[in-house]
Amino acid sequence: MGYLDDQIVLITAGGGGISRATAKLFSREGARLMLADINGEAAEAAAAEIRAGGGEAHAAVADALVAPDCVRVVQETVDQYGRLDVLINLVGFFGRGGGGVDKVSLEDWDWMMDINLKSVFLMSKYAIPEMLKGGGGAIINTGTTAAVMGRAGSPIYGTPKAGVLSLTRAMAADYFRQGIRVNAVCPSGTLTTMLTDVLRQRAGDEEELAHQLEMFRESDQGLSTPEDIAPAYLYLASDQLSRKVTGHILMVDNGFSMMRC
Amino acid sequence: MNRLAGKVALITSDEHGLAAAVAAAFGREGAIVVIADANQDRVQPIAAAVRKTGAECLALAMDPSSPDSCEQAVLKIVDKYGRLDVLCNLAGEFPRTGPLHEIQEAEFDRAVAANIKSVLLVSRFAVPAIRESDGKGSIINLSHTAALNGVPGTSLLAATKGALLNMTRDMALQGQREGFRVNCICVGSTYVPVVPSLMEEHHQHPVPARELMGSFVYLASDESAHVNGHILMVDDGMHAWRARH
Repeated sequence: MGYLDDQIVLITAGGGGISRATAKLFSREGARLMLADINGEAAEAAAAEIRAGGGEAHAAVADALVAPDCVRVVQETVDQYGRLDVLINLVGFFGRGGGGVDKVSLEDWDWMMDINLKSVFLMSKYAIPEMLKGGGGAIINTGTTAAVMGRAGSPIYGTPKAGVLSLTRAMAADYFRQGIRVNAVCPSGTLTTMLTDVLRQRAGDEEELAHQLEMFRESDQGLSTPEDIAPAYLYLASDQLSRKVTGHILMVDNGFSMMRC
Repeated sequence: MNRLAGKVALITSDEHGLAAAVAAAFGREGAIVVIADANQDRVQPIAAAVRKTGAECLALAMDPSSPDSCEQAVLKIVDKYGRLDVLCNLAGEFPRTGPLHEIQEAEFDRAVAANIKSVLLVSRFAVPAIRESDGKGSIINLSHTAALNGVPGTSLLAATKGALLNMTRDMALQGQREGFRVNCICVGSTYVPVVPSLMEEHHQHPVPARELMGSFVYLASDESAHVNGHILMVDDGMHAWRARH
């Protein structure tokens, strides 16, 4: 018996590193998956990987910032599986707008607010009615250490992510009596393609990238792998494991945010 | 099953039934469980029940107010099992009182001894044993939502169980350097009702301890290897919003 037996789970940014690791773990625990990504090939590759392992997964193409796409991907999930139990919000991006607020462009501000915060609102808005029809469910959002503490060089990543955490608590309060638990996982630095792409751009060449990753690893912040983070999503998604946990921000960051200096 | 396979876990017992449930849950996940209380008679039946499920469970006499008793107990564990991986500090109390200025000294001293000093004394001997076991050690402290949020009638609980929140972070810093993790679970009114009317306001009802076990197993196991210095709220959202608007 798995911790997510027969649970229908929709994971956004389905082709990304944390999503794939979470999908694999969830599938092993009996979940049936819909992996949504703006990049259809990436979503399909992730779903194929799950099926090759004996699990059940379908792919959907959706831009989490386009409301009709969000409506459609929820509908596709319900058409495929009959209902929706769990939503994992993993759409986000950290790589724009460093260097101080005076240097942040208007375009970067709008885009970072949208990709990190509005995506969570839109996906949740359309997923919740289906969860209510099913009698309850779980939503897990994704924060970051920069959402709970000031981080130099990160004014417009931490800010919308802090909004996600506040939204998490508000949603938990609103849907508590209807059986939807809403929590958030806050990783620190996680080794994904997104991270290496952004660092590679800043580094300029592979050698410098390797050096930057090493410094990351050695720093107080440390570097987690997607497999280190995925169990936190499982814990929060499964009623068997966390039925009494809602409105909670789970820091999976090697204690980085509780330290100072 | 087997999420705690190969781990030796020491649980200090409480009077709310939490330790008994944790012992059973850890045993189900393959841990070797040691459950300790100043009065060994209180934990013998708990250990016997866990052994009936096929797990290994030892009842030990250990007085968390006595350094000698704690030292002897940890020595016995390491002697018998060769290691210590998990410490679950569940001994303690959840006192309900009037306002702080009306609390008597004796009450205060008692709560400090039960809730704070117990963790200090057990950790003094458990931490080196965990460190020397060279595994992925995990220490779990126990607190309450009322230690975080202002709740009438809980000054002593807030003062003592609240101290554990900061102690957890300090111990976690050490753990970061020495290869173990320290976290704290806060139960809420659904398990230890401190103000019954609060439960009503939050639309909650009492739950059996077994409903909270997923959280203890998660923190004890390697699945939470990147979680350190964290205060895990297992309280039906009580910490996250106000009931009365």
